[in-house]
Amino acid sequence: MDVKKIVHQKNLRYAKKGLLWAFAAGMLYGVTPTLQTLSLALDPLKTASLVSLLLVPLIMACLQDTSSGIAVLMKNIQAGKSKEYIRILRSKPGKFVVLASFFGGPLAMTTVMASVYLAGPIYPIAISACFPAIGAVLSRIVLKEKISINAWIGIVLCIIGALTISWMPPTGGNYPNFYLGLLMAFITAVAWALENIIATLGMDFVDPELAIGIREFTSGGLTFLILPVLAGIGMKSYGVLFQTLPTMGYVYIALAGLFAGASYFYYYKAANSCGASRSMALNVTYTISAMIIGVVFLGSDITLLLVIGTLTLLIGAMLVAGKPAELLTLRDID
Amino acid sequence: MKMPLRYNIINLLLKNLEGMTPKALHDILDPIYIGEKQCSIEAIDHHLMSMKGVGLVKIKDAVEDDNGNLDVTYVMTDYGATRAEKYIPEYLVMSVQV
Repeated sequence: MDVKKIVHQKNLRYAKKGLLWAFAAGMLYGVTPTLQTLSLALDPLKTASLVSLLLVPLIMACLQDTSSGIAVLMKNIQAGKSKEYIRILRSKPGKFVVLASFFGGPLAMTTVMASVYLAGPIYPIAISACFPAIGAVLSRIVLKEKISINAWIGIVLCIIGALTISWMPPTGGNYPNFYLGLLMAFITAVAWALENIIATLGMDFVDPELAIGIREFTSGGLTFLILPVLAGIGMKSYGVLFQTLPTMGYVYIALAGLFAGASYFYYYKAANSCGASRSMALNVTYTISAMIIGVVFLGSDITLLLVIGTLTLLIGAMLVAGKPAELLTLRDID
Repeated sequence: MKMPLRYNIINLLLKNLEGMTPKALHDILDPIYIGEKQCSIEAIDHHLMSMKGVGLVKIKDAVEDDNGNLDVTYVMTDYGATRAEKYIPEYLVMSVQV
């Protein structure tokens, strides 16, 4: 066979892998809400959730990210990359990955919880689910990513599909700080988008498999540090965290960490290989797997909205994926 | 302390403007990252593919060797060189071994 053809096929295989990684990331992440729900039903987290708004989410984020970090470290040790962690952390691209972790980890976690508390679940979840659109705009400006008209339409359809799947009837609650809640939701969406863009910028130079290893440990570590301050009960919050470790609740969180770790592993690889904008848009397919698992294991109903949302999301995902040949050069750099 | 493997790959490509194959890079880098499984020809090729996608490097040439394996020569792009000078300048002035 012609050598040029072989090279083209090799490049095409790599681009297709990128799309597959993006889908895998979404599907794997959808497993975590069910495992988180199972852990929340058990003490000490069940009782602790009555103490303060942020205590349990921060404990879960800290334990889940740290567990993910350990799982990714194991994979990197096996691949002979463990020494690279420190080498990369000393460099500027490594610091980008740390900054990305801050945006996607403790900052987004805090603002998303605060937004739901201040404005109820409906509008904050809708606003924060728009992060792929913000991410696509940022990726165009910062990374100069090529995004076709079809891909833009696909990104919008992915968001509409994810929103339709996640939609819940309004609760009619009274929220005196409603607009502050919406602002928090917007900050969450920007933070998630910034995480991907800044990490992708760093991953021009940092191996994505190492970037995600650093991301998970940084996010877990930062969340651990801010826990006493944001949880509102000072050092007692560490007591609840350590009480959780020898329980079944932690087993579920650690399992969630495994799935989240695998998901982020592919999410970061996809951002590097098929572009930040595509990886973010395809990542929201997690709502499909989360719903399927919810139906199978938690007995959730299959509603018309779920079916319509899933179909919309899948059509959007196909448009985002587009032709793999378009992914051979991701950026407008000529 | 050694620099990250990918920075060394970039360094070598910047110093060898005619381009390098994964095998040629491996021959130089293997003694530096001795005992580190990450420094294989396959892994180096993966780094190059990853950098090709984002435009830091491009394929200059490809030939099939006697065993039917594809031998691809990669070169740094102007975009890649500019970004390397912007984000990892302190590593570019170092010798490859450091």
